[in-house]
This record gives sequence, structure tokens and C-alpha cells, in this order.
Amino acid sequence: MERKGQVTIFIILAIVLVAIVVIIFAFPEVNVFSTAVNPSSYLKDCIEPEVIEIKNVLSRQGGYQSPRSYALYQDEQISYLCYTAENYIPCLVQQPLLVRHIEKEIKQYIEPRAKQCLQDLKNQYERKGYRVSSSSEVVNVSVIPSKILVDFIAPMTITKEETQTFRRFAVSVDSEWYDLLLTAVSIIEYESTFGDSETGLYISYYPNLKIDKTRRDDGSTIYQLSDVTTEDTFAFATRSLVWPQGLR
Amino acid sequence: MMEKNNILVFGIVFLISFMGFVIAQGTPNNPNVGTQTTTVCCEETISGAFCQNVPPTECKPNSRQVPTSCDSTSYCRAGTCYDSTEGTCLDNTPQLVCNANGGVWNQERPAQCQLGCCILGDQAAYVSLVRCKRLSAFLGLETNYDKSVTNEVACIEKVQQQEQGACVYDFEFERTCKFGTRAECNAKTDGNATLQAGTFYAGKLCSAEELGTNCGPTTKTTCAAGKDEVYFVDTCGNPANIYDASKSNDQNYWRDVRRKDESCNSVSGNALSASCGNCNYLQGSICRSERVAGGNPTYGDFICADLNCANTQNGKNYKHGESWCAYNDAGTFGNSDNTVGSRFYKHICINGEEVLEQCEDFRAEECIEDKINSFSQAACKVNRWRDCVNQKDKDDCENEDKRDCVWREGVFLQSLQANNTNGEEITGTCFAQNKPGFNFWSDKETTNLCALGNAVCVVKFEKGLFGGKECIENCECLEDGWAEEHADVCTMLGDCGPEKNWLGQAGYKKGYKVVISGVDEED
Repeated sequence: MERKGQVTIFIILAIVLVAIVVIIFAFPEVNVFSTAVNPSSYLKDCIEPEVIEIKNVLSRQGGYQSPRSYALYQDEQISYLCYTAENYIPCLVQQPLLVRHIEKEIKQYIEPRAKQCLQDLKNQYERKGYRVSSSSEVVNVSVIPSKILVDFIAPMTITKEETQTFRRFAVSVDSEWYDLLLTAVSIIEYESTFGDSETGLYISYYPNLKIDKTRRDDGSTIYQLSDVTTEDTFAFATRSLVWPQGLR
Repeated sequence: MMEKNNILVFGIVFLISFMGFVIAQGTPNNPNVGTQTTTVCCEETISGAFCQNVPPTECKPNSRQVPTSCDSTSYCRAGTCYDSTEGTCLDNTPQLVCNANGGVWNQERPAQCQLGCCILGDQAAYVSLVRCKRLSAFLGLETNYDKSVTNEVACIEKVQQQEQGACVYDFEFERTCKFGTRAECNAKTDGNATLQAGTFYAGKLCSAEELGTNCGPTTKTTCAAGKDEVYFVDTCGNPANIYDASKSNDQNYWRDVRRKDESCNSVSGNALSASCGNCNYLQGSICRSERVAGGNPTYGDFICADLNCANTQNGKNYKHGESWCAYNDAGTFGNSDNTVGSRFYKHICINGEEVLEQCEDFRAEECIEDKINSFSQAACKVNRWRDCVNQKDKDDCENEDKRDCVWREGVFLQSLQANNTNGEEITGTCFAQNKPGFNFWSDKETTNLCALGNAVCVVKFEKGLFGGKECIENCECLEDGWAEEHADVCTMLGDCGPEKNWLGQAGYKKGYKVVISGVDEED
């Protein structure tokens, strides 16, 4: 009888251990070994994949999640950032505030998930016995040199034995995207002023920059900018100072 | 001798009609006449572009459209859009596009867009004041802006004159040091905290023993922003002198700032050198991590990466940043014998990779190339062929300031001679140096352009009294080579007549046809 009881205990222990292992692998964000939750690293783990996902889409599509005016190139819809439907004249700028626009696009995409991440964070604290009080949440996105910054303005007070108050959480994702976007703005400036850009000029100033410039038969030009050290990329299209065939 | 009036003369009209490479036929027309389409200024087109002069059918429903040029409208006028956050300005931006995106629009370039010299530590940027403030904020520096500097070169010179050295200060009861400029030392900041201004030692490294700081030599290396070379790093994280494996333990080398020309192997680019980090961007090397660059430095994780291109498509070696022209298609350059589908390309050596850029298709652009101190530079330029055939003498034809044409003495286009009504003597014809390509498979205009090469020849025969007939005028038109000779002239106009494609293969059709249009008889 005693032996049977021991076997039962071992079986129960084995089941519990297996369950713990399963939980660890199925829910990696749940930290079963630590009682403390680091809100910044929790939010970073939660939101970073979303930021990278939208960044990859915007990189390929000229900064637009759903391009309106675009050139189709290698099955990608690449937004025209400077465009003219006419021949022989320089293009008109279609997106003069590129960095701000991209920040808006990223914010629009990640905001629902970001708010969910904050809710999950609160739930984490509550599960660990904290009392959580919070007010309205705002998520801001900034693209700045060397990083994409996601700023959670989410005043939160957690209380257990002692009280901790947070006002904002900043999550940064490493990226050299800002420099590529500013280079794109500079190319747009050349295209809208002179009708073309000289890529060699940029190479002499920016050693890590690579520019692939492809002309299409319809007069559009596809620019693919990349940072050779970080492999960040940004592609966009222009149609400027087109010299058509014949005498039209 | 019989009087001509008394004999019967036959006139047979031979017409040679040229086609755009493979198919098309037509009669000589004025090629400049195209179809005129009425356009409107459309706020947004169906394809999503803003402020375009397009036919009304291309305008998005419910979008504003007025039957005038966009320049004449209040909402689509082009002007300067100012981004007050980034401090950048973009010209040729429609008003509504700028305003809709949160920019500030002005018809003239506003004062905020005026450029000046922004000093950023040991770097400089020729930018607007707001941009300077933003860049300074990113780097945690005080704004140092000089609007009296009127060009970029003067701005760069200004920063190069700044002396660098060790800035020694006390931090958390320790005597420490930061390497930088005198100005940085006078306003010392560390992250967000402004620290007490330090004592500046010009030309000294932080690791100099006599300064008595907590900074000392290491075998670690780094790349410095805006610099080509690999630098040693001291224990405080400051860059020291250029990496030289033989000097890692040399106290003198860790004392005073050494110039580039005083450092190891300064005449070479030192690409992938394990022991010397004296890279030179102009010679095709720059500091990169060994992971990116390849190679294995004796100390540290950084090395001079090789950016040059060896054994390129044309078999030559090029330096990073060099560009050159490529025209590998059948046909030659500048002889009006370019082939159908051929195109000019510009090749560039970037970061050890050969990248190509196409010049405009249909040979609307051609590639030009030159060397400056053996550094090759190429560019695509517009092919100015459009008014070549209108030139009536060699000087006008080959005026390089105005057009890219070549004069062919003794070569005539019948259609142009017919238009020469003022009796001027024409001794040849002006053709494009690189003849244009045409959209011959679907374009009526090509037919008209190629028709400039059409030729009509009226051959006269005299009928004998006892039967038979004898050619008496333009008899050469009956010879085998007449049509081919005119066809060769025609091909110089563009993608007309019997052509070859860019691979050198002849068209599957003749490209021209000879029509015997009829026989007139007269007494």
C-alpha cells in the first residue's frame, strides 16, 4: 500500500514537472523563476517583433503599408515619393515629411499590440499579487539615429509591500534606418530639382551606404538603399524628367 | 535623231518604304505632329498621385480638377515644404501635399531653410539651424551654428582647424578624461548630466601617464565616427592613436596624438592588414568590423576593409566610388549604328561590389566617361538627337553645345531635299551620333519618323519604234543595290529599316519594301 502511494506521488511529480517544462516552452514570456517583472524588457520582448515586421514591410514599399501611387517591381508595390505623369519635367514631391510619415505608419500598426502588451504587463503584476492602478495610455514612435524608439506613456502604480510608480516605458529597437530615410529625402530633393540624382555623390560621403538605382521602361526609377554594415534597407520609386522614345 | 515628243515614254515609279525595324509602312509626314490631349490639374489621380496634369479620365472621382495647369491653381502650386521637426526643406512640393502631411508650405524658400555651418564635435554639417539643433540634440552636444559660413567646403575647413586633445576632469572622486575638442571640453556633458568643465591638454591622449588619469592602454580597437582609420581604445573608452600592432605596448604611442602621416604605412590603404589600421577611404579601405570585412587583425575586432573592385566585367580593376561606361551590345558608340534594344550602362564600384545603373531606355540617354587623376567617373546624359535631321550644314550639325549629331557628307534623305525650297546647296545629312530607339511595334509615330527615309524614284523608258524599250532616266534605281543603299541610310535615323537586335541578329523581316506604283505613258 505504502509503495503504491509512493508511485502515485512520483507520477504526480512527473506530471507537474512535465507541465512546467511545457509552460516554459509554450509561454516564454511567463517568467516562472522570478517574482520580479522588468517592465521595459517585458515590453521590448512583446513589441519588438511587431516593430521589425512593419519596418520590413515599409522598407520594401517606400514607407507605405498600403501604397497608393506605386511602381510594381519584382512583385513589390514601391511607393512613388516623387512623381510626375508628364514627360520632360522634374517630379513633384509626394511625401515631403518622410520620417514623420513613417513614424505614423509604425504607430498605426503597432498601437493595438502595444496596448495589449501593456495590459499583459498589468496582468503579470496582478498575477504576482500586485495591486495595479493605471490611467490612459499613449504610444509614440520616433525614428532617430541608430534606433526606432517606442515610447509608452502609461502612468502606472503597482503596490505590494511597497509602491512603485512608472510614468513611461521606452523601448528601443536598433536600426540605422534614420540615415537611410534622410538619404532618401536628399535623393527626392535632387530628383524634384534636377530631375535625377547622382549616386556617386552619396558614396563619397557615406561609406556604409549602397544605392541600387534601376530605371524602368515607363520612366520610373527604383532606388534601393542599404547599409552594408547593418543590412537595413529602404526602397522607393520616383518618376522624374522622363525622356520618352520618339518625339512626343 | 527623233524628237522626244514623238516617242512614247514610260515612267515607272519605284517607291522604297521603310518600316520601324520589322513592320510598319507609311508616307512622309511631319514627325513633330503628335496627338494633343486635353489635360486638367487633378488633385488626386486614380493611381493615387497628387497634383498631376492628366486627362480628365485619369482623375479620381470626387477629386478636385480644373482645366488648367497645376501651377495656376491655389492648392496644387509647387513651393517649398518645410519640416519643422527635422529642419529639412523640399522644393517642388504641391501645397496640399505639404499641408496634409503637417509641413509648412511657402511659395518662396523661407528663411528657415537658409543653410549654415553646424559644428558637431569634430564633425561638421552644412544644414539649417533647426536641423543643426536636432543633430546636436541627437549627439548630446550644445548647438554650435555659424550662419556666416556660406558654403560646405568652408564649413568642413572650419572643423578641421579645431585642435583635439585630452579633457581631464573629476567625476565621482576620480580623475578621468575624455578625448575631444577644446569646445567640447569647455562644456563637458556625460549623457544627460552636465559636468564641470575640464582642463584641456591639446595634442595629448587621455592615456598619457603625465595626466594622471584613470585611462590607460588596451589592445582593443574601434572605428571612429567620420574617420577612415582603425583606432586603439583606452580603458576609459576614448579613441587613441591609429591601430598599429607593433605599438600596443609603446608608452610613447599612448602619449601624444599622432597624425595620419606619422602612423604606420600611411602611403597605402592597408586593406585587410592584420597589423596596421591606417585605412584610407580614397584608396579604397575603411574601418569595419572583422565580421563584415573578413580578415583577422592581430588585436581587436576591427580592420581596414577592402572596398575596391578587382577583375570587373570588363576585366579591369576599379577603386571604390569609380564609375565607368559599358556598351556591350552589337553596334558601336557614336557612329549612328546602334542596334535595336541596345542601351548604355554605367557601372559603379561600391564596397567591393560592381553595381550597374541603366541609362534611360531607347538610348534617350547615353553614357559619358572621363578620368580625373586616373579616377574614372561616368554619367548618363540626355541624348540630344531630336533636331539632328533639321541641320543643313556640318557646323550646325556637329555643334556639341547644342546637340549630339554627326554629319554624313554625300548622304541624302530624299524627304529632306524635297523640303529644301530656298535653293540652299545641301552636301550631306545630319544624323544622331547614337541613333534613338523607337517603340516600333506599337507606335504610329515611329512610322512617321522612319518614313523620313522613304525614297521615290521615277525611271523613264523610251519605247522603240519597232518594239522593246530602253531606260533613259534614273536607270540606277533598277540596279540591285539601289534599295539596299537607301535602306542603309534609313537605318541611321533610328530603329528603322533592316536592323539587327542588340545581340547582332538580323530581324526576321526585311524592314522595308519596294513598291512599283504604276506606269504613266506620255507622247
